[in-house]
Amino acid sequence: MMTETKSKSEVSFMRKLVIPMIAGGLAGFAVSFGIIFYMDGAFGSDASISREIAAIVGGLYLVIAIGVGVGAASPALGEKYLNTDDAEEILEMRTVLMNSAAAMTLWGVALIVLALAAPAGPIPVMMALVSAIVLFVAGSWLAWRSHKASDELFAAVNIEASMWAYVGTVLIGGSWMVGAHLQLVPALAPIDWLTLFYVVALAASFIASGRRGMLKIK
Amino acid sequence: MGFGSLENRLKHHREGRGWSQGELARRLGVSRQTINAVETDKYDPSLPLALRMSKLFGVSVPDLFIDDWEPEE
Repeated sequence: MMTETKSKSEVSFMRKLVIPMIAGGLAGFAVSFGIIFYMDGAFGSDASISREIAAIVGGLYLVIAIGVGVGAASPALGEKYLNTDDAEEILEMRTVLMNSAAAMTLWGVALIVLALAAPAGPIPVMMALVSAIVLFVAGSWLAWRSHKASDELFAAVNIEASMWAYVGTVLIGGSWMVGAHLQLVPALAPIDWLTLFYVVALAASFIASGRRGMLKIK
Repeated sequence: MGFGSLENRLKHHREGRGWSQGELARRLGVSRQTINAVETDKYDPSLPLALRMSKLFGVSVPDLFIDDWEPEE
């Protein structure tokens, strides 16, 4: 009995943590490598670390969104790597997961578009502006749909994540700006601020979920 | 004065009925994650959900959720 329990937890650990981490790491590496390779070519000497980091973070959103979206679209596949009891649980949360994955996709693309925008990048300014606004608004609408479809625990996690995101942004961005004001560090570029919002929002989601025990491997 | 998570006897009552977390979640109209978070004291349910739980198990809310606080004399 003990051996069965142990082997089941080891299988869960492998399937729900190790394999997704390796797959996510490889996908993230491939996306990052592709983005840097493309940007170094497209921008030439105008390529900046800030733009590359922004595009990589946008790519990270895409990788996560694709993982969640594929798992939600195919629960039989999703139960192998999403942190759920079984495929039925994914079906129960499908609306939340699909809307959330779609929102992350649009937000990820928006950041990539802005990272590739003129004057340094190949996407014209007006096209980047209109695209970013449409993608942000549509993504926010999908996120709102996901929030409305959530039960009270997920709604509480969303609200708590917003609080952590605010605290994180004020602490990290504020501290950096204090340093910049005192000319101890360079000021953040506008694209750095956008990247910071994305990173902090993602980290805040993990913190809020973890505090509710939702990251415990099933 | 702090408000930590309440201890609760939800798991005790659920297992007494022979229900899985999924079954209880279905009956209450919430996610399994919510049931799991309540049972492990990671989340205090809203008052409407606590009332539903008490109705479902036929016990009072204070029998489900234990609070040691006492009013001052």
